[in-house]
Amino acid sequence: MQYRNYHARPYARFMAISLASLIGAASVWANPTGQQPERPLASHGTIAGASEKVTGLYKLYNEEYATFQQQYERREVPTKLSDRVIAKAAGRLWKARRDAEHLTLMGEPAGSALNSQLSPLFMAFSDLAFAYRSTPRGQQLVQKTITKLKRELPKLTKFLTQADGALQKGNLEIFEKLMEKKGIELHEQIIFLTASEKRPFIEPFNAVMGKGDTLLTRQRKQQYMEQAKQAMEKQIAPVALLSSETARIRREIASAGTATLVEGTTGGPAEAFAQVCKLWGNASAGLVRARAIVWAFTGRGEAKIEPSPSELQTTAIAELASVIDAAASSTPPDKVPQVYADLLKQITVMDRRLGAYSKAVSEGCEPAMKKLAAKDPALSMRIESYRRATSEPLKWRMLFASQHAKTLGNSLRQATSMMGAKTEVPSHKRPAYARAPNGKTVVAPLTLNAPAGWLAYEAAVRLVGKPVGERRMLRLTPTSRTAVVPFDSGHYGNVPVSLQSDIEVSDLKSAIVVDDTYGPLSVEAADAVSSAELHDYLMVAGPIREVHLEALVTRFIALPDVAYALAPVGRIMMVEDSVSPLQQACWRLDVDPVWAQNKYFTVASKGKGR
Amino acid sequence: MLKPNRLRNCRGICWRSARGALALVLPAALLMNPGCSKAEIKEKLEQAQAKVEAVAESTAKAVEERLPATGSITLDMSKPVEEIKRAEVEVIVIGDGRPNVVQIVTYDPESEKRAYPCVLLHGTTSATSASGLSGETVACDMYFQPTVAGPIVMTKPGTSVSVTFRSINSEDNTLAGTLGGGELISSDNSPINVRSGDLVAVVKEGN
Repeated sequence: MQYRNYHARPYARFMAISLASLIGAASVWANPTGQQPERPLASHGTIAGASEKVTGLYKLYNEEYATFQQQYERREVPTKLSDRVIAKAAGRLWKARRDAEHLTLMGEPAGSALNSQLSPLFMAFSDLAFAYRSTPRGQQLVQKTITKLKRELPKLTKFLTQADGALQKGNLEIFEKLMEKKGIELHEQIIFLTASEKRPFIEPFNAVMGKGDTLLTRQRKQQYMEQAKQAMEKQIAPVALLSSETARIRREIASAGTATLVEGTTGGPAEAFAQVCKLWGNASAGLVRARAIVWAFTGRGEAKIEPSPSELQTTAIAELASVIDAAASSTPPDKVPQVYADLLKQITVMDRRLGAYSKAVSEGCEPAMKKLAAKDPALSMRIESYRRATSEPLKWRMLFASQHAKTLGNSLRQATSMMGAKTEVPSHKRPAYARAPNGKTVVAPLTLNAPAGWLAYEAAVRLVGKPVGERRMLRLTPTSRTAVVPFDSGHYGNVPVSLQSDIEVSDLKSAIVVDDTYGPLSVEAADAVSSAELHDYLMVAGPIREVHLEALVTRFIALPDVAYALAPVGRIMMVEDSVSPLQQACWRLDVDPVWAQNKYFTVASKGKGR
Repeated sequence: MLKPNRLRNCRGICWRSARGALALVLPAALLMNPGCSKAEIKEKLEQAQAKVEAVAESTAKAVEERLPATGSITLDMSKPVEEIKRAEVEVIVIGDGRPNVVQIVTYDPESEKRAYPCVLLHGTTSATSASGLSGETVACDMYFQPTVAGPIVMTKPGTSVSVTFRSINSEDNTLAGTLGGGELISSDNSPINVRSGDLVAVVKEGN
């Protein structure tokens, strides 16, 4: 399998879309960035209706913020403020804050993120209301409002009794609908009143609302937990597919030497092996999604979900070895060397997705590979000669690459350290009513402790343009235009596959006597060839082009299959348990590669020199 | 300080020991030929001298022959490099139709021990053994480490260093050759190039 075709064919072009747009239809994928901090925090949509609610609330926030800005311009002349506009905003924002808390019950991080924006906006309108209150018209309005509320108090009391009745009968949805309508009305009026002025009217309302909210919350928690459980179980389905599909592939390879893969395409042993790796990736991604759902809805990051990632790995490696066994039985001796070399390459591709220096797959498949090699009596000797002929240049090249990378990366900072540093914020785009950032703050905090857009902007302003180093760049597919840097310490990387390495790659291949006809016959040589052709790198460095802020649970609940290597494969991802899961942040750095280190060579973007 | 006459007359062999040898030979010559003329004595002296020189030479040759050849590589690089007093050449046949590999090392690949500077020259050839390299020119990758502290130097990707082999010396089983110039890169980014080089490589046992 050659990986040199970067110029994607139509199907491959469909696959080669950036990470962001590969999420399922249920959720809306957008997230605040340095350039577009106003973008909403994406939703994962596990609970029906959640995504629409998120979109609706961000829309409402934007509308009310625009309204606020218009009024704010007139603040020097309070008589010019519009009481009707302020009243309407107060009612809408009161309801919106309730909806945001409901989103938190639905496991959406956007809930508390929205509330952290809606609350200060509401307070800002309250300040405007008080500015208006000081005008003659304002004072008249206050008197009129108090009189009206006093007059209608008996009606309100009757209403509340009826609402309470609906509550006793268990009609929680009707209760909420009626109460919220009344609540909007009340809040439109009391925005102009002081605490003591509004107390007689809002307190009884709040008492009944609170009672209902307790029951509603309990009911919703139960419902949503049930929905989440179903969603989680759906995510585990691909695990069974790994074994069932591999059984079919194994049968076909054993009998015919080829197997049907996807969409009617067929392939030989190496393609079949790659397909099983893909099935493993799908299962791994499914488990990550399942685990993230449980974490979001229960706060338990170490929940017992079966199989564990390491159990899945043991199963998967056994399945992979069985495919090689099947190939060993059906491959004719004259085809064995080519199949052997192609399989070695696929083995090393998968090993790199388990860890930079992992040998789990190559070691697990070694007995089966020996069996395959034994079918060609001359092959074992050739493998030995090949190893003798190529191990010295590989050793020297590895030494050169690691030393050269040290030279190139001499004053380079790693992304994690830059993001955790505490520095002054040079500029911000916070609303006028918000407090400006004060003193030194963490560049990219791991908790969503302020509105996401503010955090995204203030991180980007300190990161974009700065050169950074990231470890382990893994291409998503053989033809994808992007590669990922796996998630670690609160962030992951998104890197275009853009470094031209044809000269370095062909130089490496000739040093290890590999060409279009003859493939690598040792694991080290196969690792060299497959990583070179795929553009997998140990380290990549370049300036940060953009910063995205995502919610951690959302990132992993909505993890696309093709990006399975973003999360650890074969082991459980460690999560912070001192902060609520819905409050945890995940940063994405888009890096423009200037140079990179393959295990066996370094490459720099042409035109910039070494 | 004035040098004594006799030291100015010394011709390569230690005059003092020659005089000692003469002292043994001369009286015998005189005894054998009583009544020699001055010219005859001069002739006898020169004959004796030649015998002493011949003995010294054959002794030296005998000492040389007892030590096996180690090979050597001298390199003319942009930074001076001391002569490397070891080199071994091997042709490795993979045997599946791929080109064969020529490998010249100044160290033992099986051992962790290294002496510096050390070199690997690595290229492909159609020759099936070291003797087949006689008269051949092979494009090689060159790898070089001047000291234990580095840096690591190698041929710039896409380029090579030519190694031209002369005929094999069957007496001491060595293969001599010359290196052409080449573009190199260094892991510490310092500029470095090789202009030329000479090598004498011992053929690996069994090759």
